[in-house]
Amino acid sequence: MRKIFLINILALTFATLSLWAQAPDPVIETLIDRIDLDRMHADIDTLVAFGTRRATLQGGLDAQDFVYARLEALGFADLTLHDFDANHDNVVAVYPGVTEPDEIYIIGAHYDSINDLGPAFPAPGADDNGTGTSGLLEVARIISESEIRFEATITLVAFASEELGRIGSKAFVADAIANGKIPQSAIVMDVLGYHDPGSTLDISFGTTDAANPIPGTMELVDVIVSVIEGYLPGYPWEYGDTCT
Amino acid sequence: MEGSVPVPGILFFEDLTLLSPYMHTDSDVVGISLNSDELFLRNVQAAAATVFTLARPVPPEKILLYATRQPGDSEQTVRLSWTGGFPPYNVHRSVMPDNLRDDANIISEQVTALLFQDDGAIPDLLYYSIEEFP
Repeated sequence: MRKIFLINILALTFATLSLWAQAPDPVIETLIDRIDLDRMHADIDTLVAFGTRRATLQGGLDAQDFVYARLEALGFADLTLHDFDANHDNVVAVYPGVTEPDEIYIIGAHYDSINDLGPAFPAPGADDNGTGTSGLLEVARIISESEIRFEATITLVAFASEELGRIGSKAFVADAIANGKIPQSAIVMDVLGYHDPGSTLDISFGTTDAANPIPGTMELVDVIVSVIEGYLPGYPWEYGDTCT
Repeated sequence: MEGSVPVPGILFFEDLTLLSPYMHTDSDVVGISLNSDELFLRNVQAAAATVFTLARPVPPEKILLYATRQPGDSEQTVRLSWTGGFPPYNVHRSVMPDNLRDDANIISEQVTALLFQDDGAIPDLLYYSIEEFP
């Protein structure tokens, strides 16, 4: 996975920041204040206890069922298993928009884990990607419990088979497009909790080929910068290359 | 989402250059690979706020109150947040539910935020209500 910090992109983002600066929405402010670290840790403990969550192993199936059961218990009526191959499935929960239901935004995280030494070696995957999976479940919880509705549709996706080549996310997007449900954009959480003592604590985000992203990406980056500045004021951030 | 798939995608990631050396190992566990709750929480908050911003919340008509610590769990602090209605709000607190909305039970007036922290909570003995300021 290539990770190159792109100063030119960073500078561009700073330059456009003022165009997108807006006052924080108090509803969003109160929603993200409800994100509960203890709950996320409890979910990580559960995921780790399943053992290696590789897409071909029982631990992965247990994780898939755990995520599905949690979303079902939270009351997501439009909840499906997206079966795209012989291994485990994507878990997809749709929270339909009130006025613009065909305007779709994805928030996702992969739930599988691997050990680079092979399937026989343990892969607890607390950070990669217990963090993202538990974060996704926490987003689902605060949406559900708050009863807040949105103008547009939010689709929550727990991706399968990321570690085998992002198979689950590719299949999801391909099928969404084939079905005419083209997402406006996708926000993915992957590996969120390791801080090297020698580095600055900041929020890092990026995309594939950050210097030449597909159309719409820089507008999305501007929104994220505005969000960080508005809801997490003073928090440093950086943008660059990642795999999406 | 790469190549010919035209969906803008952003990945929130712990660091662009200094990734966990324990990734894809048997040491990817809490306390070793997941070593910063601060970073973890802020990343989830940033991702959530981003998708909420894009989808644009529609506040409910009625006020929905949420407490992150319920009285009775030995906490002296209760953090309240709510959605709906129109600011400003009055925060009411009482040891009895029947007279909760009386003016005598207002502990904070004309609150414009959707958050309030009560540092004087009494376990098992408090009820709260959020009302629009008349």
